[in-house]
Amino acid sequence: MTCQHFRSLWEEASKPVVLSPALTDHISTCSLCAKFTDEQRELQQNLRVLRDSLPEPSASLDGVVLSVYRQHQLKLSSKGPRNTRLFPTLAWCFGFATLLLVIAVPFLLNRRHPSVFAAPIRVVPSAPFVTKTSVIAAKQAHRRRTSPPAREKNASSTVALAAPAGALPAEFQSLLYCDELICPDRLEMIRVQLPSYVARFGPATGNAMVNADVLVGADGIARGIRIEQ
Amino acid sequence: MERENLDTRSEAELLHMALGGEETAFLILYERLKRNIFRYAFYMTSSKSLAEEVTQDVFVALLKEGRKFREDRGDVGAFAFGIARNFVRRIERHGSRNQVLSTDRELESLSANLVSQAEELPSRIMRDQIVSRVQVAIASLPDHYRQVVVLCDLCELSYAEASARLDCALGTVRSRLNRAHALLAAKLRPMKDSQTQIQNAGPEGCLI
Repeated sequence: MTCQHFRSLWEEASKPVVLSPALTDHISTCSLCAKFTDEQRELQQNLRVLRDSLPEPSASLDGVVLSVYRQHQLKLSSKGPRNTRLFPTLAWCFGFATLLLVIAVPFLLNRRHPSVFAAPIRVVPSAPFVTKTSVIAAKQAHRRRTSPPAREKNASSTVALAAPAGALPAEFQSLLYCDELICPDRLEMIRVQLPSYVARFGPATGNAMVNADVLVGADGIARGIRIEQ
Repeated sequence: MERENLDTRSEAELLHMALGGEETAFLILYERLKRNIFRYAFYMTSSKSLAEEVTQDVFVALLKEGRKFREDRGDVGAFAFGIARNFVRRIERHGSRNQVLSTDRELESLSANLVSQAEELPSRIMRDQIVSRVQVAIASLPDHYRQVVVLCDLCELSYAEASARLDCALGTVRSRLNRAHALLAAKLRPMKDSQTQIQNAGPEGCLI
């Protein structure tokens, strides 16, 4: 038996008071393990002395604990029968209500915008802005009649303004679905007034209005928007 | 309710009855738990007065927090032990550990015992010295080693009971105990050397 084996056997034994013959044989041959065993035995003896020196608790302790119990019961009875689960229930209710409030407030705030957005959009019936593309077309027709040599040059600018090949003019911001639709040759421009927060600038809450030009196709679908700063 | 009927009840039942106002049930529960709690608190604090204080506080806490006890998570003894452990830790945090013989009454009682048993004085002094040195050695151990020594060696709990109280594996308790024994043996070695010197000096001998 090696010393390591001896130590492991010693550690595995729950109360190593009685040594097995194998352990005894090893102790007789190994001075280190013999010393270890002596130390451990002496420690057990010292611990036993300490264990035996446990004082008895004072007799007054029983009386004190009993009086504490009686006071506690008296206090409970003076309060009367109360629902001990009431407080946790209230606490849970309060927590749940707070959670609902936290969830509901942003939701309600978000819902306010579309309702306000829907209400105040006004079409401004101002003549120069209503059909800008038609005005441009009329000017082009006039130029075609008056100066035939300049026809080629004006034709190219007309193409750019009228947004050929399904593209919008540069200053207009494409609306979401416009990319999937082909912009027709003739677009009608309508000037509208929008609340400033819908247009993403100006005060977030307020009644300020901003002007915007909306390009609407012949099919009645808006293709682009330009907001006047 | 009759005491005989209550003696056979489990600790959990006694606790519920005590919380419901049954004083006899509380007294039986107190008698069952008091000694273990006091013993644990005494060996952890090395003070009788602190141990009594902890014992009292544990029962007050049992009355206040007893409704939180859940039988599926352990017995009432383990629940009370958990409370006692927290109180001991609180005392240690406040730095009032190792207040051995702190009260005047304890000092007086010790003096009275010494005078009345004059014939046993040398052995008593020797024993008190051993006790105080072992107490100091245990108190100087790290907390996880101290807990297993107090529970297994001094409170005489089995490894399984100690592992349940400390909420750790049985093998952990065993290895911690062996390590704690090795540390204690090393700490008590100087005491053994001094005892050997005294014995070698003889009854009339002088160490100087």
